[in-house]
Amino acid sequence: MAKKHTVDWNKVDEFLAGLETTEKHEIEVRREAIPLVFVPGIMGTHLRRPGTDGKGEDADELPNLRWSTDTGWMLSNLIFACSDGARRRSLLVGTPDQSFDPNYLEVDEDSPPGDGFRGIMEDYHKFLKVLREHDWGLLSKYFVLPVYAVGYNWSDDVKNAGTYLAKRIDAIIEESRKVTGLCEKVILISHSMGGLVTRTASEISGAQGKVAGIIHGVQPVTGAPGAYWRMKAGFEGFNSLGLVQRALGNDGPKVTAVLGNIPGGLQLMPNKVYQTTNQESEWLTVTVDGNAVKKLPENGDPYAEIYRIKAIVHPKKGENPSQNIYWGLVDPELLNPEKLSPEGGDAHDAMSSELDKAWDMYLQNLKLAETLHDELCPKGGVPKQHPHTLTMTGIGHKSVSVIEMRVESNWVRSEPYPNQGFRGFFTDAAGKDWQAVLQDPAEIGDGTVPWSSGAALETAERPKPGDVRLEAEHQPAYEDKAVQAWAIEAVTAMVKQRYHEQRKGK
Amino acid sequence: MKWAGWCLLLAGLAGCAGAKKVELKKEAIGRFRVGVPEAVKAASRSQRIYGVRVEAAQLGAWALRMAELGEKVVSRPTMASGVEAVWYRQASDLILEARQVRGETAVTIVRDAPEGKEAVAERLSGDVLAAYVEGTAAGFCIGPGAIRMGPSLSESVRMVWKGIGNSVRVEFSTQTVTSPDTKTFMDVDEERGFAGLAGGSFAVLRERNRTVAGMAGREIWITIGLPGKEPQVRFTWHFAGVGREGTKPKIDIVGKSGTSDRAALEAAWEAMLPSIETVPVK
Repeated sequence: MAKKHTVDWNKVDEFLAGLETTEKHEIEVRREAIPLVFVPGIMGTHLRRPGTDGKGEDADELPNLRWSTDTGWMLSNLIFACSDGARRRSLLVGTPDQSFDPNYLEVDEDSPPGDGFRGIMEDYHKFLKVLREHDWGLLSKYFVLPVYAVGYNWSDDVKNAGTYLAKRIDAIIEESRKVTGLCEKVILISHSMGGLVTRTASEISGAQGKVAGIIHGVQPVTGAPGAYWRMKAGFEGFNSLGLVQRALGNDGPKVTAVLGNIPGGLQLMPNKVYQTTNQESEWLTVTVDGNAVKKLPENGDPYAEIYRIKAIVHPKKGENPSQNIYWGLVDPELLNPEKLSPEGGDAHDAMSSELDKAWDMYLQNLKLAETLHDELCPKGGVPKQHPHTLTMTGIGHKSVSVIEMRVESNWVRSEPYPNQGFRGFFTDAAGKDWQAVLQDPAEIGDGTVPWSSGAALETAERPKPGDVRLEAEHQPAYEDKAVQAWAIEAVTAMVKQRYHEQRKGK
Repeated sequence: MKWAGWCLLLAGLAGCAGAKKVELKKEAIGRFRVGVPEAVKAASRSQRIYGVRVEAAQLGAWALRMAELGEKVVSRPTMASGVEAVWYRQASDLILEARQVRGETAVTIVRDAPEGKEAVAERLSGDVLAAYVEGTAAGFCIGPGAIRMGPSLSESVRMVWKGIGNSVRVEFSTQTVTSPDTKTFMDVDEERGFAGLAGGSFAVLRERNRTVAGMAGREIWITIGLPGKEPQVRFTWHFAGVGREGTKPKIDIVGKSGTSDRAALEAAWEAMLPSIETVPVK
């Protein structure tokens, strides 16, 4: 019977003392676990009401499972239900009396979460299966790479999601250590908004030392004007988006009722350092006959110049020229569709309106977005990122890099929010009616994030496979074979990096 | 308020052999009265007027509610005689909840308010409570009685019924609008696109204009089949509403079920729609 000993992989060439020559010895090399932790994008995590198991309905006949990417759930709760903005708001924010509450929703996952797959969108499982089944070759002699997913409450402030992820990293390391005996760091793989969450966990929430590296795919590093486009006009047509994005709504009122009420949605807006594909900081333009007559933000602060401006989409009667600022991000009337402004009402309507706090709550959520943006991408500074970062930017799909509102004469139009469109109405000094029509996406990106934002973390000094730009569409990016191959190379590079760190000087 | 049940003879129900009688009971909700089959049960109902949620609650439930709120309670304001009220905090929201027993009914109200506007909320909510009249279906109906106020620019109601077949669910909702809602349930593009993306089947069973209680609305029946799931049918009737008119809110009636319960849904639908009527404002 041999006497068993365990030696960590990085100490196999060290002197092993105290072995008696009269006995047989069996040395087991302990491999190091480096969990691969996938962090999804916005809407990629299933959410439920806390205190429930996500099954059944509450007293108001709303499902306890408040967000799921299961087609049956979407059919029942969004497509087959009264799926206007009020309904969508009630699912993700609460009743009309309720404002955003970070504890209103939680990830629908097991307790403990296990590998975390249950909590995230099923479409991601295909990529996770690829990772799980990949043969890591020689690296397998020293390392084990278990695959995890960490969903998060994407309606909440990304900072809270980052804190949540940091805690999950601790738990995953602990769990992996119990299995292999050796685990110190994870590798994070992010999709879209998950990039902001992983950077926050690493650079703000203190997890950097427990992260061997971060692999980002299609991250809106400096934000996405596409998020503005969708707040004004709804999510685009069926060709460029999957079911999940469509579920948030095909017009501005539906989308604003949700994204305008949650900090997570606002954190996808362009930040103060966003630049267009032409390297300009003004990303919102009003054009007349092909000439820009207004370019915003003029002073580099979209919060002051666009987001905190109350959008007024119709001119006041008899006001020539009208002063309505249709380009403001949010039309206050859309934030809480069940509470209307008091024009034409009685004294009690005026009292009700005096109590409305939807705009103030929006400003509070906006402040959370601004704080996060300023910390992750300080103006005049360098965007925060983990020292071992690799990025993949999607290209080949029309994306919004610049918002263009094209001014046209208006004879008959009166609906500012058609499906997948927006028109801001105004009158000139002569009393003539005009409309500023939001133009379709026309620049290079992944269909959601323009390349200028996706590539904002790129640097020349990366190890192989380096930062790349690949023909990939935003939502299904990790289903693309070339992206999968790059991600596997990126994991390999980071594991090798870990190997060399541990073997330094040996 | 419940009226004596009455009968409606229905003929030619699709999927049913011969004519069928559906016993109806009347439910008054908001500015409308709806006949619903005796067999169905109200699964939930809610009403808001001037942004104040108001409902007829069970007598005696106040103590339970107070125990539930516990430490969330921040103050107990004095309102009108017989009104019990608390302000409580729910996350960042400050919420007024008050109750008054009126006849056989405990009427409760819920209204949120920003800090510093508590007095306005108390006045508004107090007026709503005071306007409750027991045993009438004139005004803004909440079940056993009605709020004799308004019409308000911010009114909404929602009521869900279940209990027919295994899967039939019917929802009646109204909401005041700034301008007519000409998009919700007016076409089937969204549904068709959804079915296509999900690899499912889609068919329109009926699509036509239909006037209900003098209101010209749009009726659409569809069926969607998704891979691995029982096909579902959905019936909708949508009235776009008139901008800023409390008595002419947008109205959505949505009936849905599995295809196996389609006949039962149809029977309920064809009984309910013709029974809808407006109630007097005063």
